Amino acid sequence: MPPSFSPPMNKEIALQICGRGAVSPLGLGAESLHMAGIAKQGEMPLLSQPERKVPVFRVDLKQDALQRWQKEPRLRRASPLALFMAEAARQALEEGAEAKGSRIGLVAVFGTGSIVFSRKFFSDFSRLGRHLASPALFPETVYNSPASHLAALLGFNGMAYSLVGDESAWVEALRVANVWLSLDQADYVMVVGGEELDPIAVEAYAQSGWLKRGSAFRPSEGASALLLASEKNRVKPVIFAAETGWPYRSVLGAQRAADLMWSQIPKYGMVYPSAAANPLGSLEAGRIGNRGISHSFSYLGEAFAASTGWHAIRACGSLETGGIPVMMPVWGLNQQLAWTGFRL
Amino acid sequence: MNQSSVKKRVVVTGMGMVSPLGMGVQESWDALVKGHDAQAPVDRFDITGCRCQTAASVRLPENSRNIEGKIKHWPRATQLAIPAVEEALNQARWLDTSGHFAGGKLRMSLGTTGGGMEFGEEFLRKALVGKRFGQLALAARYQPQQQALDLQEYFGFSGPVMTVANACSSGANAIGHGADLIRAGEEELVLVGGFESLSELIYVGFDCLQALSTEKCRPFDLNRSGLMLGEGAGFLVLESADSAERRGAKILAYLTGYGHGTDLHHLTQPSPDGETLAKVMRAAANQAMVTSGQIGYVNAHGTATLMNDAAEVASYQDFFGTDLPETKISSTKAAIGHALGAAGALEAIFALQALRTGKLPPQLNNQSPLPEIASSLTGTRDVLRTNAHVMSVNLGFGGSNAALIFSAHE
Repeated sequence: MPPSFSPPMNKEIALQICGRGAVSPLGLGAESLHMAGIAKQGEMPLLSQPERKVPVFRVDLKQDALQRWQKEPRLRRASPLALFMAEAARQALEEGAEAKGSRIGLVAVFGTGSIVFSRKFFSDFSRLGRHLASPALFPETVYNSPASHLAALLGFNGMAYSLVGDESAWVEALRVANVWLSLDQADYVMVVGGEELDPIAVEAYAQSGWLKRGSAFRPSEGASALLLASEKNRVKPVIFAAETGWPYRSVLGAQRAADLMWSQIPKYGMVYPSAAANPLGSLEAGRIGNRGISHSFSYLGEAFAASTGWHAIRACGSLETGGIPVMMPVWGLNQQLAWTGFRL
Repeated sequence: MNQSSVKKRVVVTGMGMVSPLGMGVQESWDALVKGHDAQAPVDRFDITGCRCQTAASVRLPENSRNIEGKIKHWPRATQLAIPAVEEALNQARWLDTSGHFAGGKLRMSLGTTGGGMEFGEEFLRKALVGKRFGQLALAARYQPQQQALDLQEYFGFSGPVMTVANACSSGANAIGHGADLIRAGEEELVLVGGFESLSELIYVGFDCLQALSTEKCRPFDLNRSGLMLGEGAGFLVLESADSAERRGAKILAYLTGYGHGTDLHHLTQPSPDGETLAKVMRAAANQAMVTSGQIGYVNAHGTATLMNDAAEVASYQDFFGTDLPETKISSTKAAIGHALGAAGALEAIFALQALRTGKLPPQLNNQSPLPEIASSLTGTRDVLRTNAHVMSVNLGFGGSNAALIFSAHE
C-alpha cells in the first residue's frame, strides 16, 4: 500500500477561467449544467451478458452541434469521444474569444479513452482472425487520438498532452496548465476532459459492484472544457488551488487519504460536493458535516475527467452567484484524491 | 507565478533502464555500442495470422526481485518499471538501506501508451465469453495510473503523479514536463520516465497497419520496410541544481532544453516537410541556449517507416542546415525496437550515455543510407566531438513531437 501522507501545499496558483464548455447528458453548453433538467437516461448491455441492460446516462448524439462535427473529414472515423471534446472546446473558445490568434496549449484528460474502438478492434480480430484486424480502427484506439483530432480541428499546433487517470487527473491537468502559463510557453491552455461509454466500461463498473440493484450510481459520458489563462482581472472566476497526491488502494486507505486531504482544504468558503452517489460519497458526506455547501444540482453520473469538469463549472456558477470561495474535493475512484478551489 | 519567476537549472542525478538489450543502463549500453540488436520471435502472446512475427522483448531474469511475491501478479509494465526506477533512485542516492525512497514525497511524471494492457485484454477476452465475476482486478489494474500506484507502493513514497499518453513521444514528454516542473519552481525533485510492455492489441494494431518490418529494422535506409516493436522502461531522477548541490549528489548531466509541439497534418503521418519537428528542435535549442552546430549527436526517432524517416530527415535539414554533415545521428530502434511510451525515455538515456562516455551508438542495419543524411549516420568508430551537446527526439501518433537536449556537467 502506498503511504498516504499530506504533502505540503503546492504554490498557490491563479488560473483565470476565460471560457467554459460542456457536453453532457443534460445537453450542450456550460449553461445547461446549471439547469434543473434531467439527464438523458439510457441503457447499455453488459458485454458478458448482453441480455442484461444497466441504466446509464447518455449524450444525445443527434443534437445539431454534434451532427455537424460528425461531418468533419477528420472525424469521419472518430469515436463519440472526439465529438464530445471538440464541441466542448469549441464552446469554451467561443466564450473566451479573446484567445483567438494566441498560443493555446491543450491538455486532454481521459479515464478510458477511445474505449468503443479499443473494444471493437480487439473483439473483431479475436473473432475474425488477426489477419483481418482493421487498420482504420487501430489508430483511433490510441489514447491521444481524440486530442489530436481536437488540436487539428481547432488549429492548436503548440504543446498538447493527453493525460490518463481517474478524476484526479483533471486536477493534475490544471497544474500542467499552470506550468505552461508560468513558463510563458502558452498564452492560454484548454483543459478538456472526455469520456465515452461502451459495454466493456459498463462491465467494469458492474464488476466493481457499483451498479447493484438500488444503487443511484450511473455511468455517464460527455466532455467538459475550461479555457485558462494567468489571472489578468477580477471579472471571471479564478482557480486558486489544484492539489493532488493522496493515493489509496483500499477502503481504509481511502478513509485515511480523505482525512489527510480534508485537513488541507481551507476552512473558509463553501464546499461543492462532487461525490454524490459515487462509491466515495459517504466519505465526502462524513467530512463535509455541517460546513456550508454550494447549491445542489441534478445528478449527472460519473464520467471521470469529464464529470470533474462539469462539477468545476457548476462550482464556478455557485461562486459567481454567491461571491464566496468554493472548495471542491475530487474523489478519484481508481487512484487518488485531490481538491481544487475557486474564487473571484 | 509570473514570467520573471526563477527558471531553475535542471540536472540528472540518476538513471535506470530495462531494455531488450539488458537489465540496467550499463548492460544495455554496452550491447548497444557493440552493435547488438534484440530482434527475436514473439513468444509472450499468440500472434498467429500476423504478417510480422518478431519484436524486441525484455528477458526478465527468473530470479529477479521484481517478479517475486505479489509483484508476480502485477502488470508486466510494472515489472519492467521497478528495476529501472530502482537503478535510477539508487544512483541518485535516494534509496534507503531497505530499498525504499528515502524522502517523503516524490512527484512523478510518467509516460506510457498501453499501461497494463495485457490485463485489459484479458478482462475483455473473458467478458466476451460471458465470464462475469472475479475479473475486477483485471479491469481496475490495467490503467496506467495503477502502475504509478504500484511504484509508490513498492518504493514507499507518495506524491502527485502525471501520466501522459502522447503515443510515441510520451517518454520524452514525461521527462520534459518533469524539467518544466523544476524550472517553474514547482518541484526540486521529480522522478520521470516511461514504461511499455509488448501487448497483443498493440502488436496486431501495428501489424495491420503494415508498419512492422518482416525483415531487419533499417532506419534511414532507402530500402527500409518498417519498424520493430520493443518494450522496456527508462527512468531519470531530475533535480534542481541547487537541490543536487545541497545534498552533494553526483550530477550526471544538465537537462538544458525541451521543446514540444503538435503536427496537425494527419493522425498517423507526419507532415512531409518536417516543419513541426524542426520548430520543436529550435524551441529546445533556444531554451538550452545552444545553436544547432553545438549539438554533436542526435538520438533520432527513426522508426524505419517510409514516412517517418523521410519527414524526420527533412526536419534535420531544416534545423541543422549546413551543420548537418557535422552532426552525428542514429536511431537506436534498430537495436531495441520501438518501445512506444518508453521510447523517449530509453533513447534519452542513450543520448545521455553518449554525452557521458563520448561513444556513439552506431546506426545498425543501414546498408543504403538516405543520401541527405548519409554522412551524419554514426559509424562504429564515431565519437562525440568535444564540448558538444546531445539531443533526443521523438514523434508520435497524433502529431506529438518532442526534443530534449542534455549538456555536460562541468
